[in-house]
Amino acid sequence: MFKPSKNQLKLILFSFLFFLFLIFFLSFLRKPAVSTIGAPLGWFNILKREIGGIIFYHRNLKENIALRKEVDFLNNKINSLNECRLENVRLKENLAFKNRSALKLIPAQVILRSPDNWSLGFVVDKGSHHGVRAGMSVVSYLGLVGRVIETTSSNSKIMLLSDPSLGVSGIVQRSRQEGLVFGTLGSSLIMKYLPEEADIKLQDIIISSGLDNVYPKSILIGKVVEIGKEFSGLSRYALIKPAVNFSNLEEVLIVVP
Amino acid sequence: MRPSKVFILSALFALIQVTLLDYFKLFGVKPDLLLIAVFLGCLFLDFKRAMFLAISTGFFKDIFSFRFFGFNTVLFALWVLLLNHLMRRVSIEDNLSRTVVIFTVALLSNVIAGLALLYLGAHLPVGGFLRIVIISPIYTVLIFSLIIKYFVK
Repeated sequence: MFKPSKNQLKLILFSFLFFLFLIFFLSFLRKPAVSTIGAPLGWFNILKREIGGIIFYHRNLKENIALRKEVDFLNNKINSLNECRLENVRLKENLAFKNRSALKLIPAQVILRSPDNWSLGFVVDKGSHHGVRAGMSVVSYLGLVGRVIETTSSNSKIMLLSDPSLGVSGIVQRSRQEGLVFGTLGSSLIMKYLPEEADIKLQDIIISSGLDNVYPKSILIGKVVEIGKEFSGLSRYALIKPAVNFSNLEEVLIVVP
Repeated sequence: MRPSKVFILSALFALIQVTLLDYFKLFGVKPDLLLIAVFLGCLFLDFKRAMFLAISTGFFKDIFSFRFFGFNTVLFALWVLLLNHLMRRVSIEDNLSRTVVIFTVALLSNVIAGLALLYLGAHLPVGGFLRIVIISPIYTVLIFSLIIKYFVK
C-alpha cells in the first residue's frame, strides 16, 4: 500500500495550500471553484438544518406558536388600521364636499338598515335634536342619496332613491331634458315620462332639477345606461346607474334648506 | 326546542335582520329571518306565546320598515292563527313538510307585500317584483333548513 514519506506529505500539503491560495486569491479561479463546492456545501447545510430542527424541536415549536400569535395580532392590527384609513378617506371626501358645497350640511352615520325587501332605507344617528327634519334631502359626496321621512330626537329614517316610493325631478345635464326619476328596488333607477322626441343618449349625466323644491338643484343622480319605449308607446324611459352605491353607504350628509 | 331558545334565537334574528343581513344579499334580496322566528314559534311554543312572539317581531319589523306601519304585526299574527289551525288538522312534524309550509308562507307574505306596494302606487318593474317574490322565499327556506339542521333536535 502507498505510504507517503514525510517529505512527500509536506509536498502534498504545500500543493494543496498553494492550490487553495490560487483559488481564493486569483479572482478568475474563485468563481468556478466556489460554484463547484457550493452545491455539496448546500446539501450539507440542509442536513445541518434538519438535524438542528430535530434537536431543537421543542424550542422551535414554542417559538412557532408565539410567532403565530404575533402574526394573528399583527393581522388584526393591520385590518383595523386599514379600516381607519378607509374611514379617514371617506370622511375627508365628505368634508371636502361639505367645504366646497354652498349647502348647509349635517354629517350622519348609518346605524341600521331596512329589515324587509320591499322598502329601501336606513336609520342614521342624527335626529331632530341635531336639526334634522322630515323632508330634508340626503346626499353623499358622490351624489343624491334620498330623503328624510321620519325623525326622532336622536335618529332619522332615510328613504333611499332606489325605493320606488320616492320620485325625484331630474334633468339631463347636456340637453336639460326633464323627467321623473324613481327607484326600482334594484341596482338601477328609472327616468320616466320622457317624450318621444326627448334629447337623451346613453352615458348622459342626470342631475336633480330642483323644480320639486325638495332636492337641491344640480346634485348628481347617475348616468343613463339604457333607453327604451314605455309599454303604452306614448313615452320613453331611461335606466340610470346611480352615482351612489346605496348598498355600502356608511356616512351621509343631510341638506339643511 | 325549548321556549327560551326560541325567544333568544328570535332576538338574535331581529338584530341580524336590521344590521348584518344587508351584506348577505342574494341578487339584491335578503331572507326574512323574522318570519323564520315566527314559524319556529308556531312549531315549538304554545299558541299564546307564539302569538306574543309574532306580534313583537312584527312590531319590531314595522318600526324599522319604511311604509304601512302595522302591516307586519297584523300579517305575522295572522300567520300564527292560520298555522295554528293548520297544525291542528295536519301534522307537520317532518322537515320536508315544515320546509314546504314556510316556503308557502314566505311566498304569500312577499306577494301580499308586493301587491300592497303596487296598490299604493309605487312604480315597480315586473322583473323587480318577481325577483323579490321568488328569490326571497327560496333564500328564507335555505336559511330555515340550516337552522332546523343545527338548532332543532
